Amino acid sequence: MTPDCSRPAVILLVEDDPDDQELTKRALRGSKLRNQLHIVNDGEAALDYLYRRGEYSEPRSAPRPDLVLLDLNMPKVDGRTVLSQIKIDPDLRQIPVVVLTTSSSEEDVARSYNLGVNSYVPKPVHMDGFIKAIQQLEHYWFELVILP
Amino acid sequence: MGGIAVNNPPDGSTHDLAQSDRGNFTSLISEIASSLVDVRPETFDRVLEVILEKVGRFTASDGAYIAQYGAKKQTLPITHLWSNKSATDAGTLGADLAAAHTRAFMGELKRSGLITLGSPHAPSDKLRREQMLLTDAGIPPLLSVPLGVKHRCIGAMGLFMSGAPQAWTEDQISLLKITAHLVTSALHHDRIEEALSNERQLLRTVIDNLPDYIFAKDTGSRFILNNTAHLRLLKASVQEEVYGKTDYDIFPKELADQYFFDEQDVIQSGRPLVNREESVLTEEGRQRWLLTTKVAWRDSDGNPQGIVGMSRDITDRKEMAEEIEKHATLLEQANAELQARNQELDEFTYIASHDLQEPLRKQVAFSDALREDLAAGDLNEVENDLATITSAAKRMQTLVRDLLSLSRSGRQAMDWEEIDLNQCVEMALDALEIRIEQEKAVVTQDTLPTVRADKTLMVQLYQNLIGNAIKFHGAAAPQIRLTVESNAEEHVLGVADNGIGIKPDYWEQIFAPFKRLHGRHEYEGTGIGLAICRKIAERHGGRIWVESAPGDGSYFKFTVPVHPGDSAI
Repeated sequence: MTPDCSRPAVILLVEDDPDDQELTKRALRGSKLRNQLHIVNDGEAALDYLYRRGEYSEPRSAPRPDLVLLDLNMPKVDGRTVLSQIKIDPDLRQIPVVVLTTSSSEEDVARSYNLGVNSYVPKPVHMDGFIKAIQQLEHYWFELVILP
Repeated sequence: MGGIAVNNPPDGSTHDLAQSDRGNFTSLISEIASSLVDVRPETFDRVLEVILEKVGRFTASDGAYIAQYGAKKQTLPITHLWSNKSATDAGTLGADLAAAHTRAFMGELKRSGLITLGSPHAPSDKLRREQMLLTDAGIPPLLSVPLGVKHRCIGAMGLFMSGAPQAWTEDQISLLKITAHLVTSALHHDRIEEALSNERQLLRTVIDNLPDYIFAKDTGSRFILNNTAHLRLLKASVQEEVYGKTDYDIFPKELADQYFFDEQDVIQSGRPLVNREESVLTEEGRQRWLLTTKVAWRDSDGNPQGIVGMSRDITDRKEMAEEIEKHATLLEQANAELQARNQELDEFTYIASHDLQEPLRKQVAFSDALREDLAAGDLNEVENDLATITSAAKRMQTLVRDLLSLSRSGRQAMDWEEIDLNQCVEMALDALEIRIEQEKAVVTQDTLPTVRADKTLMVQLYQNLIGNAIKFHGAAAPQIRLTVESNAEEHVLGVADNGIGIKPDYWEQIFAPFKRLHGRHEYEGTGIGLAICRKIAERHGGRIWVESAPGDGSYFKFTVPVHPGDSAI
C-alpha cells in the first residue's frame, strides 16, 4: 500500500514511556514528511487499535497505519507478542513494523527478525542520533521502498 | 589260627604254655584289650609299654618293641620298648633294633605277615644282613609281625631273645599277632582322634579369626557353636556361657521370635535364608546392621541337625552410604541454591542494563532537546525538558534504592525470633498512615498468630502488600482485609483488597523484579515491591501467590511455616 501523497502517512507508535513518546514526536516534527502520529501506551492497546476493538472501534479514530513503530519492552502485552500477532495475521502482515527499543540483546534482535520485523532500530542515546534514525526510516519507507 | 599248638624246638627248650597257663593266656588278652579301651591320649604310650612288658614276660622273651613309621614313611624309629636288661642298655638296644628294620625287612614283613630271625629254620637268605646286625647286637632270635590293616602298614611289633638261636612257639606267635591286632586298632583310633582334633582345631582357628559372626544352632535353635567374634557380640567370653541358650535368652521376644521362625523354616525346608538385613541393638543401645545368611545343617544321612549362620556387620558400610547420600543431598541443595543465586545475578545484570539505562538515556536525550529549545528560545519547552530530566534522575534514584532493598532482603542475615504478626501489621500501617488517610482506606484484620520469623522483613512484607492494595484501588475507597488460616504445618496469611484486580496471565510475572503491568503515567513505582515480598516469603521457607480477577480485587497470600526448618534460607 503506497501512501498516496494527498494524505499524511499514518504512523502508529506503540510506546509505554511518556518521555520516549515525546522524543518520537519531536523527531517526527522535524521531518519533511507529512504524518499523522497515533500513540498507544501498551501492546494490548496496540492490538485493540489494529483490530479496531474497544475504544478504537470507530474506523476514523483508528486509521490503518502505514508504519508501526513498536517498543519491545512494555507492561501487559509486550512488543514481541504484538509483533508475532501482526505477522501471523494475513491482513496485518503487510504493515511494515520497525522495532524501537533499548534492548540490544542479540536474542531480542534475532527473535524480532525471525518474526518478520522489517527494521530494527535501537533507541539511540543522543537526541540527534535518534531524530536522524527516525528521519532515515521515513525516507526509506515512504520514498525509496516500493511497499508490498 | 587254630588253638594252641605245641612246638618242640630243636634245642629241647620249650616255651609252651602249661595247661594252667591257658586261662592266663585268655585273661592276658582280655586284659590287653580292655587296657586299650577308652585310653586317654596322654597315657597311651604308658599303656603300650605295659602291654609290651606283659607280653614279653608272658612269652618269657628278653624284650618286646613297637616300631612306627614317621612322617611320609621316611623313618621307622622304635617308639616303645620293654627289655629285661638294664635300662642303660635300652638306648643302644632301640638303635640296633631300628637298624635291623630295613626297607627289605619291612617289605618281607608286609608280604609274609611274619618274620623270624635267628631261629634254626631261618626263612631265607634275603635278610642275612639284618640277621647279622642283630647277632652283633646280641639279640639273634627275633619275632616280628606287622602293625596296620591290610596294605596300610604303620610299623612293626616284635619279641626278641638274647643268646642262642631258637624257634618261636605257636603260642608266642599267636599272642604277638593278637596283641598287634589290638594295638593296631588302638593306634588307628588314636590317629583318627588326633586327625579329627587337628581338623577341629584348624576350623576353630579359622572361624575364630574371621571378623564375621559365625554360629551353629541345633534343631531347637539352641546355640552349640559361636566363634569369638559372635561370643563378643553376645557379651560372652567363653563358649560355655552361651552353649544351649536360645535367642529368647538374649534378645527381646519380638526379635527372638523372628529369628526362631526363620530358622525353623530353614531347618524344615532346607532352603537357605540369604543376606537378610537385620538390625540389632547392642547393650550400649547402639543400632547395628547385620547381613545374615542361615543355611540348613544336616548329617551325612540328610537328617536335620540345625542351622549354621553367618552374619556380617554392615553398620559402617550402611552409615557410610547414608553419609554419602546426605552429602549428595547437601551438594544438590548447595547446587540448587547456587543456581538460584546465579539466576538472581542474571536478573540483576538484566535490570542494570535495561531499567537503569532508561532514565540515563532520557537525561542525555532531553539534555539535547534542552539545548535545541534554548537555542530556539522556546521557554515552555525548556521548562518541560528540565522537568523530564529531573524526573528521570529521581526515577534513577528510586531504582537504585529499590535494587539495594531487594538485594538486602535476599542477603541480610535473618534475625529469627518469636514475633507477633499483629504488631508487625501495626508497624506497617503506621508507615502507610498518610496514604491510608489520603485514599480513605479501611483496613480490617483477623487476630494474627505469633510466628518464628524476622520482624523487620515481616513488617516490610505487610507494608508492601498493603501499600499495593491502597495503590491499585478501583472506583471505591480501598477496603483491605488481613486474614489468616492455620494448619499443622503452616499459617496462610492473606491481604485481600477490592481494587482493580489482576488477570491470571500476570499472576506469576508480577513477582519478577521490575515487572510493571501499568505504564508510568497510570501508576507510580518501579515494580520491585512484589519481588521483595517473594524474596521475604521464600527466605522464611514459605510461598507467595495471588488469587484475583480483573475488577474484582486481589487476594495476596503467603505462608509461614509453623516450624521453620531446613527449607528457610
